[in-house]
Amino acid sequence: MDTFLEQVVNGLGLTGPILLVAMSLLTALAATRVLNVAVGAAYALSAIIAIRAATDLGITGFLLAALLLPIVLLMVMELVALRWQRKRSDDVEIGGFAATLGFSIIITAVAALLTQSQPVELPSDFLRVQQHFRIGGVTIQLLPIIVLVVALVITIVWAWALRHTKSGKQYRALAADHELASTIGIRTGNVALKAWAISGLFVGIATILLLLQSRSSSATAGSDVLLTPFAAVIAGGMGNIRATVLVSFFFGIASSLLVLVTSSAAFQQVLVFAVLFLVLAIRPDGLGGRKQSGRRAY
Amino acid sequence: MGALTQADVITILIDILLTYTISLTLRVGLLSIAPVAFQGIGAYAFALLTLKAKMSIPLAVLLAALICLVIAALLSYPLGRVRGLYASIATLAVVVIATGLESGFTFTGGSLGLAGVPHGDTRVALAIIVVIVVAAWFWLDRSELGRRLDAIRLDPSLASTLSINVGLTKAAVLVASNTIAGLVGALYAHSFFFVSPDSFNFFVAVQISAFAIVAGATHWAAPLIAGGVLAVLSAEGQNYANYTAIATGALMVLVLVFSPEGLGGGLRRLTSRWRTSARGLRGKGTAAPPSGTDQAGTLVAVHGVTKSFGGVHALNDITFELPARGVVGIIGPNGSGKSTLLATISGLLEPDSGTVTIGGRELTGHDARTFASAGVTRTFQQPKLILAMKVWENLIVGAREHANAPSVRAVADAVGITDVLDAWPGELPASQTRRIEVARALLREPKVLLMDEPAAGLTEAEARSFSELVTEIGKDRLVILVEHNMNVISAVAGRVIALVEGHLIADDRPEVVQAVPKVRTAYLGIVTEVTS
Repeated sequence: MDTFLEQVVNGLGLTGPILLVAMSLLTALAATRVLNVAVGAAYALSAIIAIRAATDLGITGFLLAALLLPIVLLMVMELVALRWQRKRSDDVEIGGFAATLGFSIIITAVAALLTQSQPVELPSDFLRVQQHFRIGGVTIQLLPIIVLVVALVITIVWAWALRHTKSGKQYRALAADHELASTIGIRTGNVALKAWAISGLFVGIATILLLLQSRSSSATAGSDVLLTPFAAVIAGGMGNIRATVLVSFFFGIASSLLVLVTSSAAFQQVLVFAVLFLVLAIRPDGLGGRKQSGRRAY
Repeated sequence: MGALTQADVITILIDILLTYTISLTLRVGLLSIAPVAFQGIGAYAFALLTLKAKMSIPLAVLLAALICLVIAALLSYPLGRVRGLYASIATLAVVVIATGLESGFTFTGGSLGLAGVPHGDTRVALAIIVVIVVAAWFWLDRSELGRRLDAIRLDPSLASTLSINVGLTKAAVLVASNTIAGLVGALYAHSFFFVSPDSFNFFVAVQISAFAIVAGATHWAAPLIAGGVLAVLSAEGQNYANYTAIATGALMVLVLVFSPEGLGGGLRRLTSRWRTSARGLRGKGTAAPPSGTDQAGTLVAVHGVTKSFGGVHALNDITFELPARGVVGIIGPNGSGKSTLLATISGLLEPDSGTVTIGGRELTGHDARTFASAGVTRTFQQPKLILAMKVWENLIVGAREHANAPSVRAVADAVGITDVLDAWPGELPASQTRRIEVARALLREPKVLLMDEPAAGLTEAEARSFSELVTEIGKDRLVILVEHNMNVISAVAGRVIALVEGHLIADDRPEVVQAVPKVRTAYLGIVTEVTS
């Protein structure tokens, strides 16, 4: 029973990072209908540079690099590619998704150049958070709990903002109908750019918190960071925050419990993506998606 | 530039073939990266069949391809259900699941993979497959099938009203692309001593899809050129692999932003001047062979049809029966349910209750394609023509093929568009595009032709000459005309059905319907005195 509980607690620890990256994906999606697969690569590159900065410049450099770099990367993607795509046609879902695949190739290659394709690590004494406490027979690490709490706070604030602030409403208007949004006076370019900047900020926060846990990164570290949140966003109906949160918790805890059955970590992603595949096959619009009105059901 | 090694040549041939498999899915508007997963499945199947089952090499290659065919066929149902971006994501799931299983199981050698796979030189075999695939694609570009695939990519809803089975065709394309990839995978395993999950993972899939996107899907040579050049660059520049990857990614983004049809789109525009011309069309034959429908009796029966959208009754218990010949008008103010009714009769919308019967067959609940097969064809309020195809290509994309089929030229003559067969639809005025739509519809030999406000946007003179055309067409079949223009209706329709707020309020000869007070109030805007 204790092992079971311990795995559930571990699963909660896995849920934090899933939720953070899922929120980043949802933010870009909310305003521009583009699923940004380059989020994983942006994480990997930012983490690599943040590790360098931590070694050479200390904590300020680390925080600045980790927070700013993803924001810059995502804003560049928006400005360079997606803005032009929207000018050509309103149908950017597949084209935008494919363009972020292209960015993912570029960023991963840059990261590989910087590291000679070797993993890099944080200095061993840098910002170690090793506190833990025991409840009953279960040991609980402090850091994963902090990550989960931060992720939940961001999620709740962001869900509230999308519903109740003017910017939030503008994001939703933009996603629903780009042309209409511009004719009713929304400065669509600005709104889209801001949304991608916020999406980048979430990647930045995820970079800091994930690096403190894993303490290392590599050029290909992005796919592990991306894939589960990616699946959670889609299975959650691509825009439904509540469903995405539920699916994230399910994925986190289920992946952790899987360790009780099999020793191979490879099956975690099989589980997540088998669930995603089934959801798509049975409910082609995702769990939280509405059939007619499509993807956005806040 | 150094000489290419045997391994380089094999890698390049394999990359070209995989580019073709992904380009094939782009041709029907999908972006499936599953071929990379199937390359892996084929490779592992070959490795296991030769290592564990000690099977002979040719047999193992064939069996590996067969295994991929079976798995691809099983997956084609769920993949075919999913639309647009979700379909791409579902294929990404296939890649992640396949590599996860390969590195998770012990019989597949875990993350290290399987070594000692029987080795041989596969250059000739791969080159032969490349030639076959290129030749098949060359044929596809010139065939009816190719145009159907184009119609599915460019306008799936139009394709289904043209009686093209969109779901089945997409499923068949996915099975073909995945099976070829599986065959390639078996040969891959035979070429390189070992297989490991990393050779078929997310990153590899993304790279090959970049090749395919740069190539596009609309020209037979594009995947060969784009896949070939990019694969040679990656093979040649292994020391600069990261720079090559940056260039590939940048090229992919540039193509997506500036030329979404890729290299193929450019090649097609270049060659279309001399390749696609209407000259090859048959000149003989008639415009309309006698239809076998019984003149008496009911062709279209609508019984108790109700349809609501979120609480608003768009149609409320509509019932009428229509004969096999003549022009019937449907009138009503905006929002009265005219277009909904038309969509119900053409199978684009399913009624909440009630039945729609065409030629004695109850078709309620079937899709637009079944309605199309039963003889229902429609034109749209905004003419739906495929702008990337010339007029004559638009005409033949849905045309029926049999000995007595009406000839494209004869129909074009009858409709009055012979002069514009070689033009692009985007360059023509509304009066012409309306007629092109009608010609395309007639080539489907419809029993029922539904027309949604065909006179909208026409000048008075154009509307008058269009009315004559509609009268002529109505002599041989049933034409159902939704129209605002009362002059057109009175000129052509022998019978008029009037709808107001989803209710059928009149069904009679035009002059009688026009005199009904409710119609005058609601539709003609004339306030009549209330008499008790």
